[in-house]
Amino acid sequence: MSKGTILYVEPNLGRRELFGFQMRYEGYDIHVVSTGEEAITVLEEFLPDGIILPDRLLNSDFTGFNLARKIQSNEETRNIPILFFLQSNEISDRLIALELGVDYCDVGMPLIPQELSLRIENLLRCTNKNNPSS
Amino acid sequence: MTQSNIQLLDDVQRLHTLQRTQLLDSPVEDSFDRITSLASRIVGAPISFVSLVEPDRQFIKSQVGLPEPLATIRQTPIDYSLCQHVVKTGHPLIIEDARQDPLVKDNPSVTEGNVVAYLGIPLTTNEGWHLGSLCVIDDKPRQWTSDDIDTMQTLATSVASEIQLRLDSVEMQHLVAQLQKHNRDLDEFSHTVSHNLKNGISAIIGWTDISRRYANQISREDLLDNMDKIRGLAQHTDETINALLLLAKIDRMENLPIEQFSMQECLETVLTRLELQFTEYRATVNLPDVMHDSLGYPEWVIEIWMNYISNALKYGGKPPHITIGSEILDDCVRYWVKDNGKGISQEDAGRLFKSFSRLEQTADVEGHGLGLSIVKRIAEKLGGSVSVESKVGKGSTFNFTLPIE
Repeated sequence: MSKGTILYVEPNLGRRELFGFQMRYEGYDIHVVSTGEEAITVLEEFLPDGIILPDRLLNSDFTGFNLARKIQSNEETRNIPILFFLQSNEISDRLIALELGVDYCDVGMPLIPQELSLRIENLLRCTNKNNPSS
Repeated sequence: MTQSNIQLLDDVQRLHTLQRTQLLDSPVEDSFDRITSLASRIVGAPISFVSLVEPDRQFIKSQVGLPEPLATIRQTPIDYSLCQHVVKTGHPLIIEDARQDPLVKDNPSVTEGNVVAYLGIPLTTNEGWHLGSLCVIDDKPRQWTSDDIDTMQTLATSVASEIQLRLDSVEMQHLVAQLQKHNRDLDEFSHTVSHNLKNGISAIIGWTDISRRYANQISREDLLDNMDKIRGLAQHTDETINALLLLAKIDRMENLPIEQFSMQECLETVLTRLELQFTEYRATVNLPDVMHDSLGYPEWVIEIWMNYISNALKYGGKPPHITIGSEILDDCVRYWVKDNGKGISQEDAGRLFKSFSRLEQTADVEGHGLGLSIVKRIAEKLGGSVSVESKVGKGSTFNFTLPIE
């Protein structure tokens, strides 16, 4: 049984494969896309239980942060919890994430599978709090 | 006077040196004023100054006793300059009575001003450029004694040393700036190298951790797939390190055994090594009837071809069609590899030969991003150069040259 649906936005092929693989083995249904535009298209079609975004997006005008703001300002998607994958371990990026009220984890360091697993569990726990009926 | 000592006022190198002193149009300075003041006092002449002579004017760096407005303007047109003759010959100019002297009797400083006796000593740099003169002037005729001349020569040596100091310090600043830039480049390079290696190793750790975590549930196919990924990442890291070692080796190598060699054989070696890739990419190659020979170090020339041709396979058209050729230029041979890829914009072409500047920064493309900087360093070390011609949509031609003699 699926533990939930995750939209995973990741421009980097290596990370897409690695983390995508793990999320599948953790029992999530994942939709993996590589650009912000694709993410918007997916969100118009269905609403996932959680969204994972990078801090920056390649080949696109907007960053993961901007995409998060867009998601948070849309009535339909505002309650979907978000997790940032931060590439750079820079305080400024962490502060932006916190200002947006969004959890993050540092993928610049080797990320222990257990950490990722727990972060995603926490992420989806937010969904259940926001929508007790689901 | 020796002929070889004669310098033209507009000699480009002399003017360049003059500019480098940073003294032209500079404010009055004690270190020069002390000397003109001493000169005037010891020799007992009312006027003394340090001139720096340009083709159209003389600038007066320091003076004592000059009348206004000259004392404030601190320059005269070149026609008024007696010092120009000192600069041209590089020898002291000793004039008892300028009004009688054929060289300067028509000089406006003599006809309109009150220059009568003149003694000027050249100010010469270590490289032998006469930049100006230290002179003393009297408004009455006067026989300059050998003591006067000796004193002036000693003082002129001091002025010249001061000027040389300025030149050395400018040169030093230039060297420091160069070193700083070099250090910044190295910093940037090591930063990129570290990131590149770290990303690969992080991914290896990630795939290993995951394979362990799901060891009991992972499918055999996924496990093998993960191992291939780990192998690929490790190989990529290994290749990057090899490329770095090669770069370091190129920089370190001196007294290369540069020799005449057969470019045809060199190219054949490369094509044999790349045979598998040619099949894999279903690539075709157009070889020239004649391959011109040049001077080089075959082992490294092979590296150049390997890089250019494997790039043409990876980034060229699908399937790749490669044309290889050579032509003799004035003193070198140009070799090229032309592909049928999508071409590169002018801007991208500019940074192509810098380390790690792969244009498509995606993990989908194999390679370590050091190849073209290796090519550049090899070609330059062998006395040649590299370049690329490309138009978006029209493919690219990568060139390198090697010397003939």
